Parts: sequence; structure tokens; C-alpha cells
Amino acid sequence: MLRRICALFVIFLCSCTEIDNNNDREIEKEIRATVIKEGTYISSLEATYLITWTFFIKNLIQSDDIYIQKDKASFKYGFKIDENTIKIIRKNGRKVLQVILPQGERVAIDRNTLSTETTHTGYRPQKDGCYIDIDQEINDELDKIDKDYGKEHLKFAKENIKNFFRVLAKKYDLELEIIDG
Amino acid sequence: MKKSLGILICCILGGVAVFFSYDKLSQHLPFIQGKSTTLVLAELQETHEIDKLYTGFYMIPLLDINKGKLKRQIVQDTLQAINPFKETPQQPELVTLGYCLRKYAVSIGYEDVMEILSTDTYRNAVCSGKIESLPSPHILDVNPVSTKIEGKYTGSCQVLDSYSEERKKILMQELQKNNIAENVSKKSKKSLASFISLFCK
Repeated sequence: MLRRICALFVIFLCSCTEIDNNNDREIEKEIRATVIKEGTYISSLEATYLITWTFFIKNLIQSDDIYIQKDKASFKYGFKIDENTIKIIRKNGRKVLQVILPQGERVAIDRNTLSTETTHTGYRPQKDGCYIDIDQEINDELDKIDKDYGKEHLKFAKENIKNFFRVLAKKYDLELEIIDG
Repeated sequence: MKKSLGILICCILGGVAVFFSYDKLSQHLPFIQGKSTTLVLAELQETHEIDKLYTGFYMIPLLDINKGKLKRQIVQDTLQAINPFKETPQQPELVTLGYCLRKYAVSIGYEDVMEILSTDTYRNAVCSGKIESLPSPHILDVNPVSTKIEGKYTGSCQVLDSYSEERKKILMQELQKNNIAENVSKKSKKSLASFISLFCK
């Protein structure tokens, strides 16, 4: 009799472990589906840079030359989350929602010139006798902005993702572990 | 005697099994299931982990210009003035003679996300797909980046930095002028809705 009860107990515990594993996979599936559905806007931040490129040359006789070009460029700073890197694992007896974040990236969306303005009609800025490549100048300015602020944008994008997963982890009563990939 | 010992052992083992498998069982039995929205919100509020939600970054230049006549136009006007056979002078076109270019790094988003998450109206709106009724984002941080003054500029563009609210208003107007504001609002609401939707049933 006692042996039978013990056997039943072992079977019960084994079936519980099996239920538990299946349950983890179910929650994992649910979380992955939520991330696919709702994570798009959270995983990246949009940055729009309005550039006003100006050039000024002082003239002795005629009026000074001024050139003003306004451009608009948009970028996305964020992380491409692969749902397969979202897992529920066991750590020290606790259920942990583990998310592997890939390297952050900047993706250009669009860029266009809004307006140009010159003091003298048809004026084109020159330096050392050569026309200035304004497009390149603006690209250089965009790269400088990215160098100065890109890391910060990615930091905030990452914080948003963390917050998103914090809520998800709390909802399913899991601990959260975010690993930089 | 043997039977009652068996029942006793059965009860103890059953109790131990239920104790260790409570977590597992709880996920399958609705009456002891997981955490409610209120509990999740309370826990998040307690830990202060979630604060601001940044939804966008903008580099906004403010160009303050002084317009006037070209030198050649002034000469023409003077000649015209002393000419006894003068025709009615045409209104000359004014051009930029000087400017002050200020650049600002601006971040936009929501200040207190937890308060928004805890508001039933917003939650109901998101859960029923009406995200347009969510609050619009606002400017979170403004950082002056650079100042460049060239030509005949007589204004005082730097004074604006002494009035933070007025500065925010002007920067927002600049976003509206360049058709960015609407897009900003739409995308920010979508980001916020992604968070709130986690509380939908």
C-alpha cells in the first residue's frame, strides 16, 4: 500500500514538472506574441534632425553673401528584437524572463531639402576657389550629431525596452534578465 | 490501523506535493491565477523603476534673421530719389543681411508614465483601440547646442534661453511648422499604447 502511495506521489511530482515546463513554454509563446504585436514602437526611437546650414562671406563693395539651406533628416535608433532570444529559464529556483538584446543600431529613414535662400540670386558658396559640396557638409553635420547624441538615444531606447519587459515580467510573475548581445 | 496510517501518509505527501507545486497549479486554476493589473501597477509604483517614456529626439535650429536692402538697391534708391524724371519706385525685395542661428537638442515623451498607466480611462481607450484619446507628448528636455551670429544682426536671440516655457512653445511651433509635430504625436501615442496594452485582458 505504502509503496503504491509513494509511486503515485512520484508520478504526481513528475507530471507537475511536465505541466510546469509546458506552462513555461506557453507563457514564453504568449510573451513572444506580445512582443511581435506591441514591441515595434517600443524597440526604437525616432530622431529627426532639422539642419540649417549657413554660409557667410563678407564683401567689400557689394552686400555680404549669405546662403541658407534647410534640410530634414530622420533616423531610427533602436534594437531589432528577435523573439527567439526571449526565453523563460530557471535560475536558483526562480523563473526568469531572459531577453538577449542585440547591438543597437541607427537606420536612416529619409532626408530632404526644405528650402534654400541666398542674398544674391544664383549665389553658390565657394571655398578656396571651389564650390562647396553642401550635401557633404550636411552629411558631416548629421554624423557629428549622431556621434554626440546617438549613444544617448540608444540608451533611452534601451530603457524603454527594459520598461516594456519589466511590465511583462511583473505581469507573469517572472524575474527579468536583460543580456547585451 | 494499517489503513489509517496509509491515509495519513497520503495526506502528508499530498500536502507536500500541493505545497511544492502551488506555482504550477496556480497557473492552471483561474481562482488562484497570477497577478491582477492593480497588483502589477502597485508593484511597479513601489519600485519606481518606470519613470519617463522618451518617444523622440529632435535637433531644432532657430534662425532669427535681419532683413534689409542690398547695397546696390540703396544706391539705386538714392539715384532714383535725385532723379527729376523718376518713375514710381517699385517696392524692393528685402534680403537676409544677418542672422543668429541657435541649435537645440530636444527630447519628447511622457513625464509620468505610471500615472498614465494607472488611469482607467486611458487603459480602456487603448484596450478598445481608441489610442487617439491618449495624452499628447510634451517636451521633456531642451539643451542649447550652439549659437552662430553672422552679418548685420541686431536682435537678441540668446534672451530666449532665459524663458524656458516660452522657448518650449517656440520649439514646438517649429516642429509644427515643419509638419513634424503631428507625426511626433501619432508615434508617441503608439509607443505609449504599446505599454498600456500589456494591461488589456
